[in-house]
Amino acid sequence: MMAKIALHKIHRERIWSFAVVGLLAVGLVTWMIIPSISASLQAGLSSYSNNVSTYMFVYDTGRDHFSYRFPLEVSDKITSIPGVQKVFPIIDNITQFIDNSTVFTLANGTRIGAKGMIIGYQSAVIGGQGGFPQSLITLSAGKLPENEAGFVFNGVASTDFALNVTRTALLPVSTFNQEAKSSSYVDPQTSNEYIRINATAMGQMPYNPMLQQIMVLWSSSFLQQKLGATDYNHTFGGEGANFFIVKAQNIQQVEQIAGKLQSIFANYSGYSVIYDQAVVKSELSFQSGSSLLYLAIGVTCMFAVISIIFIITYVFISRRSWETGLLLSQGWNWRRITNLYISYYLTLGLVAIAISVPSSLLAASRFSLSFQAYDNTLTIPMVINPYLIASGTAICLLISALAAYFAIHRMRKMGLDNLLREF
Amino acid sequence: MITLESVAKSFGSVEVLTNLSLNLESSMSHCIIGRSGCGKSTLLKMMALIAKPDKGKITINGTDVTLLNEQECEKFRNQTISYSFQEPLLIPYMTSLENITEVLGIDKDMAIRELSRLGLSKRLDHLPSKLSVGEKKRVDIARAILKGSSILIADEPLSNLDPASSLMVMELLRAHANNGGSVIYSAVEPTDGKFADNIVNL
Repeated sequence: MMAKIALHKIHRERIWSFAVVGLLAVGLVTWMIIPSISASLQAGLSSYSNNVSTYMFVYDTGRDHFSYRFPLEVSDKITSIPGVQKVFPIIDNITQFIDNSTVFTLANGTRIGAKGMIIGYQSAVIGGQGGFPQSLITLSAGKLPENEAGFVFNGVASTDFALNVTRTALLPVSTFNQEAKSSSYVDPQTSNEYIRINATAMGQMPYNPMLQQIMVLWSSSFLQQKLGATDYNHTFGGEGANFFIVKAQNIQQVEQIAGKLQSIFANYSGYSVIYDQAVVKSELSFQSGSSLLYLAIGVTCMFAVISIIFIITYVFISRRSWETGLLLSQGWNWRRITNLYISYYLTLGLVAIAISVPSSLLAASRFSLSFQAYDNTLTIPMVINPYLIASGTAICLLISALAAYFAIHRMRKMGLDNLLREF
Repeated sequence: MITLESVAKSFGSVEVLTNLSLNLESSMSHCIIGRSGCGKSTLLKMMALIAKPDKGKITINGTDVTLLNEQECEKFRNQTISYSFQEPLLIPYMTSLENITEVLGIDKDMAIRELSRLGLSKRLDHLPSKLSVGEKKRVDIARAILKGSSILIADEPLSNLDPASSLMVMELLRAHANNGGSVIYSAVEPTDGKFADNIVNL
């Protein structure tokens, strides 16, 4: 009977009912969306910090030791440092490109072109032992070369390499010993210590400041074929490594691991541990500082939604107290009246939940948060925590019922005569 | 039987009823006549346990209702008294028929029969917003009659009614008294007292 009367009330007072449902749904959507945005943003930034800013690089910053290889035990030593998630030992060498269109701007503003400039880039092959880990390659354009005369570059197309444009590359061969000749210039164009090949930029990685040390990544099978087994093993293949990418489990451990790495490589002149100390510090500070803000947003949102639901229910019941008086005068008791209003508001609450949950999920699936970071768009998907759906449902139903109870309690104190006077 | 002893009621500084005593016998119809504002509605509301007197004692069928607490009042009102309002009060989201069946929880056929007797057979499914004041009044009276309590109290049941409708209403009220119930109604016009067994001038 109560449900039937509640349904009549909803159906025949559609405008009021829609208004209540609309306001409840807005409150619920707010409850589900705002903390989700906060949580997604926090999780996204934390994930970004832990995935991007947790990389450290150990290499010869003097660029004199390309032919040097650390034994495998060094990798094991690094792996055993507490907090290290992964170690990527890489064989790093140089690739030089003949650039026929380099333009310089002089101090007086004059622009001059230079032909035949030779620019060297640190390089590695993709995947395999000593190769650049394929898991760290995310292409923003083009494709990975497969046994083709091509490479992937890490940078900005307009300033480094245009995609699909063939260039002349000079690759070192086994007779070349840069360490021995570091004091005397060797012209790569004429020296037989280099092999000239035509190669095309086939893929582009989005510019990533953490991975910028190695700019050119070759197809290993192509280089093996071009250089031959002996030269390949001497330059980009074989055992050992001269470049290490070290991944910490989380950003909090970066500084501590960097300290341990520095002591491991202390005896190797030229080798340094590189990581973006400023970014790590600012992200740590941002994370610790923003967690309170997100908590405050969540708590404020909760109180706002509870208040909205409570006030709506209370006001809408109290606006027609004579209706309660009439029912009492016709033999109803307070228990029946309480049941009627609670049935009514629970039904409206359920309708509001039925509208707001799919709406919030749809909104979350359609919209994602994104912001620019170092020329990259960092996308953070918005995920609605099931806890928010469950708590939103509970809040809507409980607070509606509680507000109905308080409104009825107030009417009960008014007395029947006063209730009927409101007509 | 309803007995009032030295009953007084005031609203702020306005004394509406002062030291009122009267006896209303059971199984009779009583008409309380008085000018507008003389306290008829207040008197009826006190007898219907809607309002409480400031002073005095009201006894209904041997029970001193002024001593009852809220729950006892609810129970007593539900079992003993039917009430029809001066301004017809109907739930706006219920039709004429539902204002009786769903409010009282009674059989649909009984309600249709009673509404038909009051000339409302074509208004059964109309919401109050589609009814005239007189039609609403008749629905309100039908609801009070169908509640089936021994004491039926109606506040100016004949106001806003045309002579034919007034006659229909009074026939039903008289039938209630003839069947052993008590009817107490108020009126402004002395001529409306002609339907009653007993007239009380206020």
